Amino acid sequence: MLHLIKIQNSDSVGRREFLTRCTKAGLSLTTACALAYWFYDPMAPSGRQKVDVLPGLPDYSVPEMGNRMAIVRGTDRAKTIRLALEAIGGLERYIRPRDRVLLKVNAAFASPPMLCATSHPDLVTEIARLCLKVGASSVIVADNPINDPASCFALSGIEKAAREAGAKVVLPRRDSFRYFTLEGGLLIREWPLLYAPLQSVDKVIGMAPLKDHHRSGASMTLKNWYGLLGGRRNIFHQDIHNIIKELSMLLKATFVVLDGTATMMRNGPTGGSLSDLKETGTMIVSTDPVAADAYGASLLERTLDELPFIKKAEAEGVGMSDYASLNPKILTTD
Amino acid sequence: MPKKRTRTKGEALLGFLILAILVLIGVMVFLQQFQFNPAVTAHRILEGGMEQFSSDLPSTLVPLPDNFTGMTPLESFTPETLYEKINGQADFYLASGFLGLKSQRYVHTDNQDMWFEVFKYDMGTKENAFAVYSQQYREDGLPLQWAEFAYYAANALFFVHGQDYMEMRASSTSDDLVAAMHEVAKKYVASHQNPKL
Repeated sequence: MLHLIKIQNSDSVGRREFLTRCTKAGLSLTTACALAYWFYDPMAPSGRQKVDVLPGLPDYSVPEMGNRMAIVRGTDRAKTIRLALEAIGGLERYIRPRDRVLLKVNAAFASPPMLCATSHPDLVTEIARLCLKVGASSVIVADNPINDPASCFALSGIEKAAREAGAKVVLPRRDSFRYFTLEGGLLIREWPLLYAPLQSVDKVIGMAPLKDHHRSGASMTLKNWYGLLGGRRNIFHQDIHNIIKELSMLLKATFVVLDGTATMMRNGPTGGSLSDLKETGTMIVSTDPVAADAYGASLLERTLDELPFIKKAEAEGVGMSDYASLNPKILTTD
Repeated sequence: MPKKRTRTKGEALLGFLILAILVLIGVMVFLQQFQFNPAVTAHRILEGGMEQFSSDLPSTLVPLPDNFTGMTPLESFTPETLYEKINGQADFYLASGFLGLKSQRYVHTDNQDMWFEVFKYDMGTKENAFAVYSQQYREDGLPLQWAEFAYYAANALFFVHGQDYMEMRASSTSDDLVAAMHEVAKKYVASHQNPKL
């Protein structure tokens, strides 16, 4: 009031002028508030790039071949895999001329081949060579080891094995990943997936060593797809059996290879000593990954109850844990 | 009737100048929001990984014998980043009080196939270090005398030193390589006589 009186008494501002100025000030304030409201973002930046979610992955299986399985005894990986592939009908029935093939190996660690923590280079060489022999136009080898992928592929011997067989190792890069949501999945939702190698091929062969795993009990062909996950995937270790189940639903491979030539019986998945290995002399090839893992469990001396992810994958229709129902061909190279 | 005061030329110029600066700031803020620096949201990754690039760290984790040299930089992992190195094995160490891992590979200067890797797990206490040592014990291991808890299994050495659990893994079972690894381990223990317990 005192202020108004002072203004009224001043010799520079009249009543009309005062009201005009008040109106202008009010309009300025309203405009500023409106602009601030327009720019206001109630959500903090997520820090994540634009999500372009994939609806699904292609089916790489060969349905007309049905469910087939071969179990071959022997210690020479090149011989056992050749015999196993013949036993499931011949590689040429799965890989057509000009097919582009992806070998999804386990290259999780920069570990020497003798420790069997990664896919064995002899096996990589032979499968890549056979694929090219039956007419594949290209064979690529991929995985997503988190720590220094180049070292993992080099020290595991996989890079050299692939190169010598005429295949090419594809190292994961930032732009190799796409966000993916598994339909019906609870865990794989808008999660980065190593997509670039999958996008450019017609057939996918999963190649897994047979290992103990501290968290899941075993690392075999179903767990092998974990290597397709990007991001801070360690969070899934808290629900390991369900993430393996969802991974099994994610991708239908052409067939899987479970290398039980030497099995890491304890201290997996890294191992570290030859003492962790047992010579189990078995190569398993199957179009049904659940059956392959169920048989692998017996080599690892585990029951199916100790490896719940196998039954969970079976419940989702991924395959059959009763591998005997596939009438597997059991052969020996020796 | 009071005489209306008119603004001077200087006041008008100053007013326009201030408005121009405000508009310029507004435009800059508007444009900058489209160039958000991802490093701001990557701070968690950097916190775990910076140490491996620090120049303050020693170049080697252990004293090296002749004919061996560093093959890779010294790497460092925290509880948040341990999985990047050992993946599914990380939970085993985390459950036993893991604080940090340092690792490095060393290679023979004349034979690139002869290399070994040292893993130094800081487990916080000697009891924690013994816990991970004993749970992973290989039954066929040969006990070693230069440390209280140490053994050799095929291609690898495993021992407890203070609050550290250490592994040395060789790329082969070559006698020369295994002998070099034994020498490294003994020298390391001798040069760290008062480890933290």
